[in-house]
Amino acid sequence: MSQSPDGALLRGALPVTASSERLDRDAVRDVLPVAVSLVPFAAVIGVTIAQATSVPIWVGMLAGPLIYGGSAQLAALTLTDTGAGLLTVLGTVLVINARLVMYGAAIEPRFRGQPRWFRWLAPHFLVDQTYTLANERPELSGPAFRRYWGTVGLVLGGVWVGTMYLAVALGPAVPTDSPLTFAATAVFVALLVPRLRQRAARRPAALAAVVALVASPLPHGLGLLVGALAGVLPAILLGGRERS
Amino acid sequence: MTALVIVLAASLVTWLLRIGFITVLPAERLPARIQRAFDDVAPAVLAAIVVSHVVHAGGPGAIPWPTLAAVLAAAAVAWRSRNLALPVVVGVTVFGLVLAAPDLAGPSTDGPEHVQFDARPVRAGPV
Repeated sequence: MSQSPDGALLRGALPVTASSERLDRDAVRDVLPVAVSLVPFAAVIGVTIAQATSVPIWVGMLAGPLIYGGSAQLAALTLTDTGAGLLTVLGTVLVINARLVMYGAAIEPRFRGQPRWFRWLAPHFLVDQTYTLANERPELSGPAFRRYWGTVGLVLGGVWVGTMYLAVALGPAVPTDSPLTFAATAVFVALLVPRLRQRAARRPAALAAVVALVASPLPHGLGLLVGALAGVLPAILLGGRERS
Repeated sequence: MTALVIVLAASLVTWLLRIGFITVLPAERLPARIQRAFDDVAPAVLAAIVVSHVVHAGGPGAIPWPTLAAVLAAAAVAWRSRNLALPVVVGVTVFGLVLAAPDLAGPSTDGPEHVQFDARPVRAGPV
């Protein structure tokens, strides 16, 4: 992780508490392209909610903000709709979202010393995109981090849930096969590639990519989880790098 | 009613996964060697996500040329600029162009009939 002492001075020294009730402008700028990239996926889920036969529409809609994770929501929705039982659905959700455990461990220092309510509730916003965005701003801490994290989580969730609900209302009229569907993938490419300029990021990325490719036939995105774990494993076994 | 219970339980499980190492067992209590590995989480997961998106875009045995071309284009732009929106715009444009040119895309690998599949990337999110 690239610590930037300059950024810490610039940003950390600002009297952010005075304006703690407003949205963080930097956060809005960071998260907007990410949020927009999720519009196609949110639309797909909205249409799926509208077309489900044995899951009431309001239950499907409730899952959007409550689960706050598209793949798990889609899996839970379609499995339940085809008559799968509670344990099957929970097992699938567990596998799909297992990497959130890794994110939680990695982002924990940012939550250290935060108020109790924040430590219990704010992790709800933890997803691939929010973790990565927060990771790009290592200098934020205390109230500044709370403001940044809250803004990113609310804007992302707002666009996500808003689009989903709009698609529920419009139903099959929503196009789900536009080239925009690539946007979600492109965001992850845009988040990954600049990191590869740092030599230290290349080994975990390359290893994870190869293993994820080999393990890709596994069901429920298990290949993704196995690949990610493989990428982190050498650092654990070899004791990791010394932080500079 | 059952569906509601399932959704509530799925939400609870997901929340527990999130707070696990933040609030329940703070990661600072983990061994230092594991804590030092956290720097590798982001590059590893991001790489695994990109690979899984590409693989699932193609379906079994098929090479998803449009997605592959778009990933390479987006990566080339992202290598030069830290801007998040630019690689997305370029990637979507290239994806659209290759889709619109079936000769380039090759026979029935990732053509329009597979776009539907692409529309449900198993890993896209806020996953």
